[in-house]
Amino acid sequence: MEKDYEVIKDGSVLTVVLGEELTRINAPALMDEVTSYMDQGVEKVVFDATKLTFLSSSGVRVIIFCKKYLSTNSNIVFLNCDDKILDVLDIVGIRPFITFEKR
Amino acid sequence: MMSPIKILSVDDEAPMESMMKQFFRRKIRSGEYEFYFARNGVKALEILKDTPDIEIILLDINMPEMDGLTMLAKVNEMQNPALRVIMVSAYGDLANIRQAMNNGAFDFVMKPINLADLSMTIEKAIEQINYVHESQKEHSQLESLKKDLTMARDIQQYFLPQMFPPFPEDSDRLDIYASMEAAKDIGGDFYDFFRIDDDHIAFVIGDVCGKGIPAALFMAVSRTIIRSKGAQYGTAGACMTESNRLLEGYSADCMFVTVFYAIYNTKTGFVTYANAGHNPPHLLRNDGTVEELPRSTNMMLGVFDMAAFEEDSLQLEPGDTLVMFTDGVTEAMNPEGEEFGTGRLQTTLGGLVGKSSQQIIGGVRDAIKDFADGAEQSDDITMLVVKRK
Repeated sequence: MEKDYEVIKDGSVLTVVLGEELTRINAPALMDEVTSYMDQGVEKVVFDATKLTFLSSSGVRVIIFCKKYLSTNSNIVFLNCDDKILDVLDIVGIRPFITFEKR
Repeated sequence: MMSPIKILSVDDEAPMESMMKQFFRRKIRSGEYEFYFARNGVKALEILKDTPDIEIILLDINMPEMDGLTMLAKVNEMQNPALRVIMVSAYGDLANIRQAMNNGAFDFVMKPINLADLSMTIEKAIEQINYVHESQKEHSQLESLKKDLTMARDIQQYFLPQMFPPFPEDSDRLDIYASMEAAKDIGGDFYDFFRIDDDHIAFVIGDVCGKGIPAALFMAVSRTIIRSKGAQYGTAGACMTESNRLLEGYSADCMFVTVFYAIYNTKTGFVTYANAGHNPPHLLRNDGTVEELPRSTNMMLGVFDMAAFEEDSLQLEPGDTLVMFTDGVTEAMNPEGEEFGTGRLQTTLGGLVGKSSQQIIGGVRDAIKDFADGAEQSDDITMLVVKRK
């Protein structure tokens, strides 16, 4: 599958611009990519979910990984998250540790 | 030691045999090449029949009895993907060479044979043959892996209780049924139920993230841990808290499992439960109304070891049914990419009031099947239904 996301590091902020879906098809590659930013001074991870319409459990793993391992307790931000994605984050119980922003 | 490459030289000219043996004597002596010789196509086919592992044929075009092009056609019929045919022809016989190449010959050399050139051509053919063998090996490894996956899926099914009714002594007050319809790829859905004491039965439904062997293994560990902690701790919250603490230690690469765990009082119909990040079950009341259980603030299991898990409770009156399921139910898709969704599930359940647990599961499965309209099932579809009689 063609890579449909982009990872940009700017200082201590890592921005992950997501494509339309984050599933077991593309989540492992994204996981590998974000892993390479371990111990690189990332304090905040911004998931730009403007285009995201489907988030599977494999995608949720990437978010947890960023929260747990990218640095000590990184800040997780979701940008332009639609209700369906919010619903998934809510059900699995990780909504409380995510900040939601609209731009 | 590698077995020799077997080369069959088919040529009606007698000196060919001694020429080959002389030029390739070192390779023959060291066991790299093993030569066979035939003077015409008919004899060559006999040799091929007796020695099916011959993989290179040096084939003269002009021969009595059966010419090289006819022989090439016969060789093609054998469908040996590793076999390479190098045509040997008179200088300038371009028409026949072209035909041979079009019919699948690997390469050609011209007479008088430049043996150094032939040697290089043979080496090139061997490279390709080795590549084919490598691919065949990988293919058979893949086949064996597929068999392992099928076996793993069968083993996974054994983890799930299959005997219904599971508690015959409570059959007059409790109707339990469950099913897991596995998707093509092995997944991590599971359900379970076990007796805690005379009056209490525990129900579990879970969904491990992802698919494949890691999900199946994590499912097996999750189910075992929850069962043992369920027997040890009398409350749903404590069972989830302890299971989470243990699972966090087994969770490689942030694996997690969403679990709905309920303890049912067989005498009163009172249910205490903890929902660890699982999609909320539905309650089908005896009057046909359908309620989604309230969202929980609990997190899935295996992520943060310090998480605490809160409990909720509900009362099942006679005729009321608790329908637990995994997201394979609500996320089942039709060919247009629409999801079955909570709305369709609730409408379906509303139409199944008064039915047995097995009939309710059958009814939902039929509704999903109709909705999917032949679209491939991408996730396990798992349901656990408990009805108070």
